[in-house]
Amino acid sequence: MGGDVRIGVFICHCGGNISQVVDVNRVRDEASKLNGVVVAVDYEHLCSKRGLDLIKEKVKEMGLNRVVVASCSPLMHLQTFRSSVEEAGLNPYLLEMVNIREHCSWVHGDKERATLKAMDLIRGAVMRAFHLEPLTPEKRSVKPSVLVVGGGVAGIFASLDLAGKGYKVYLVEKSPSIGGHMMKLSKTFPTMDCSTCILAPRMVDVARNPNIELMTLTTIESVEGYPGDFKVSLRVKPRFVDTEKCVSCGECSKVCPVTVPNEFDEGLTKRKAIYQPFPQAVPSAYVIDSSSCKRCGACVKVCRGNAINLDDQERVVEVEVGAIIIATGYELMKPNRPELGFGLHPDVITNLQFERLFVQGIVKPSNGKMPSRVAFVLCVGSRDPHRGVPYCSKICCMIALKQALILKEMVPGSDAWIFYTDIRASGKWYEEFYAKAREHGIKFIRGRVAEVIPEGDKLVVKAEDTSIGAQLEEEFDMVVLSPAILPPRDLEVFDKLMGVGRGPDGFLVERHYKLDPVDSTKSGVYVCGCVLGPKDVRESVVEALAASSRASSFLGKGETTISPEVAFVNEELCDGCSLCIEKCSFKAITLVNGKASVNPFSCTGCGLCIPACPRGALDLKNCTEQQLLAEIAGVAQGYVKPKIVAFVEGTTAYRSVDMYGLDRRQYSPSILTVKVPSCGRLGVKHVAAAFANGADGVLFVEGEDSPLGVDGLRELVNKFRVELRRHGVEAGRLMAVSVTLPQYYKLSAFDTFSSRIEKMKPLSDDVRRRLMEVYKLG
Amino acid sequence: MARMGRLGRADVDPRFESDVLKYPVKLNVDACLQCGVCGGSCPVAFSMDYTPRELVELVKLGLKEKALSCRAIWICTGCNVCSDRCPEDVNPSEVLNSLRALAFKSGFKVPEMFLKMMENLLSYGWIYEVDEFTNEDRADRGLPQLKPPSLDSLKKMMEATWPRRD
Repeated sequence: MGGDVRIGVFICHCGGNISQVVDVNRVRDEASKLNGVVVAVDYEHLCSKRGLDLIKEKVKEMGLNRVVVASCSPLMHLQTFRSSVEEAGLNPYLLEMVNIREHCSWVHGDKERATLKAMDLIRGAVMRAFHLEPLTPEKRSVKPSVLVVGGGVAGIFASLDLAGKGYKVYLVEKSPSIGGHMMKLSKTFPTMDCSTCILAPRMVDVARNPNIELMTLTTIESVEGYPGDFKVSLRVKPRFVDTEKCVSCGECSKVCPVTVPNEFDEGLTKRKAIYQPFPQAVPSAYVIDSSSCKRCGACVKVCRGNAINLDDQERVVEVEVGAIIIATGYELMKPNRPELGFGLHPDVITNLQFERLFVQGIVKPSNGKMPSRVAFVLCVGSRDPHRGVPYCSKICCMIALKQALILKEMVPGSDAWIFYTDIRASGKWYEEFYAKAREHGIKFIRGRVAEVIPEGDKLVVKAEDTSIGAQLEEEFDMVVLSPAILPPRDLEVFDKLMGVGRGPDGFLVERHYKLDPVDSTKSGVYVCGCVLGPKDVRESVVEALAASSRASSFLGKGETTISPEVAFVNEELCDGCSLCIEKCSFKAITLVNGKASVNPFSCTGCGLCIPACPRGALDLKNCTEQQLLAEIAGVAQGYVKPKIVAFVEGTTAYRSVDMYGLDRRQYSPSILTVKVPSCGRLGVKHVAAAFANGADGVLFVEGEDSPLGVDGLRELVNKFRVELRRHGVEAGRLMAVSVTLPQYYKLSAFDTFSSRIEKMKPLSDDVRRRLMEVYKLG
Repeated sequence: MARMGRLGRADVDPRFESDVLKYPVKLNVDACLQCGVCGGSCPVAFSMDYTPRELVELVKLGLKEKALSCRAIWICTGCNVCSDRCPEDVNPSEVLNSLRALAFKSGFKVPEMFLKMMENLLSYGWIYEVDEFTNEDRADRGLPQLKPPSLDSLKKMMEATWPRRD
């Protein structure tokens, strides 16, 4: 920004919190001598009404166009001071804060050095303030519609809730009917409701709701646009049956010559190539499974409604939505364990197959006779990092209890044995349910099943009863396995299409485990149900309603405001090499007409893309190259010697340093912090600038949850070390620290580093000069 | 399970677990969740006084005397099925091996039978006799013929690995 820069510096006593350690009079006098500063004032409580009025008065009286406030942490009062300068007629982004409380007076006992440090920090802020520019948050209108992916119980409830709020909903399901896994269940624990009876009416509601457009046999092809205005293309597979004309009379199915295993009954029964998925299916119509249909045309001849068209084609449909909810559920692990007999003996089945048997009538698949002794085998693949998955599938214990109770009820005199590792019954009314199972004479054996050995038409289950340390071999008629719950196979598509992240277990990951439990890592995209991890129906519904609420909060105002602190491209310099695109984990950068283009709605302002650009074509608003280099130079010059510049990532790491101060943990005043969105925003030039201007050590503090991550930080700092060593900066002068908020005490690394740097000689002037030249810092 | 009676601090050797873990193969004893798939799988656990799972627990608790004087460690055939199926890679089979070595080193009673087998190994290269009949049988089944290993290298190997008594 051109013109005359007129900076006012305001120094807060904080009622003694600052002034008892830092000599504010000296700091004020020093600040008033800095280039560009027209007035420097100190005040008892700047955040008080009178303090804020003082700032406003000075802005008007002295014609200030930049304000530097040296006080507490910006995480505490940035908004307060921004509002007051805005009231004085200045753009709020022309304010700069210096933290001389949490990062200075609270952590240093040496008054002299703390005062010098405050002067150096203010110098950095004043030099940065020279280059501040007015910024305005951008507003864009959003589409009042939502795409819900997955038609299980979570997708159904999210859709109904959003439609009820008046949003247009596109409910997309890849199979021919909605209903998901819940429709396959007999009863739901612990209330023993009939699963079909409670879900089917809601499915009918979906079909009848004018705000919901149901699209079955549909998958996502591509997602363009930005949060608030996504353009999604959907691939709709042919159904071959017109859902409007089909009356579900079933004549077609009778004449169809093709028989295949019925997936709805988990392969226990057969179906035809033209079939209705199940009687309560929505849409209520038949469908042809093209992979098994022989196209004989027999069905076409008998259909009185003329509903069948064997030439039906796949089509691509475009929809525009403001938000997306992902609710694609889970898959069961195939329990391919030869020692457990699955696939080798027909009476060894999964718990989902057993659910279907309740509906078909409880009989042994091998001979159709009623079983009188059934073994339930838990943890088949779950809690088994060696051969399965490390996590607990959470619902299998309750499923086994429920199934054992139903068996007891349906087959009088039958025996149910549950072989478990630990019974997990922590939910509302779950422990009571477990107690009921014990009272009904269900046997509980604590021991993971080792083998299931077929002997004639019996199955011998071998396990250690760990309660008594004895080997147990028991005969059963049937064995029910509890396979691990897995993330759906094609989940990576959401990462590819929209940048929705997955966790180490393969399930989608929430933006924050505790506090943003249904927000995905991508703005405007929400997640619910088992796609986040194993859970029961009740929890899936809770999350579905939460996701609906989050989506409507996002869309409800009709527009979104986005922070102006985002990356931007200098198109003249960009040659379209796309290195920045690879670096962005939020899919915020795309190539438009051969040039990188940043979508401000998706950009989080982390700045990782900026050093990735070999041509310097990218920059970050409110943390531009100019601003950053000026601040580094200002902080690195000056009084404190030796000097350590600590780059601190702006969210978790900065808050951790604040917490450290709140705890009054003392560290050396040699350490001066510079707030950056992420250490990944830094290039070697910035580190060189710190050393060239006076730093003897440089510290990098990053939150473990930042997009850069622990490994990223380590790699980055190693890269800086290798590069700067060539110009004579020893590797020991750089250090990386990763923190999490609860582990802010890890910042005791400050002591390790400062004592190391204090022991080393100051960096030589030769090296500093060389860095100035090599990195063109003059 | 053999009755434990009352256990006290005197029964605990705090160094025992780390001694067991001083073993060429990684043993994840601390990861054990006591699921019992080892004890259920073991073909000889029916005759053991402690199941493999219980032995792992004895190690974790530092109950050296119980673990090294039991019969179970000498009954194990080393078939490895427990280690195959162990969800946490505790490697019970090798835990028992480590216990055998410690028992010998610390002067616990080693069954005559076991020592006899080791003698056989040193003298013939086998722990039991491989006669012509065995090799004919193997030929019928399409398996390669067994030839006695070099006694010299076997001796060297045993000298290098045989635990020394303290």
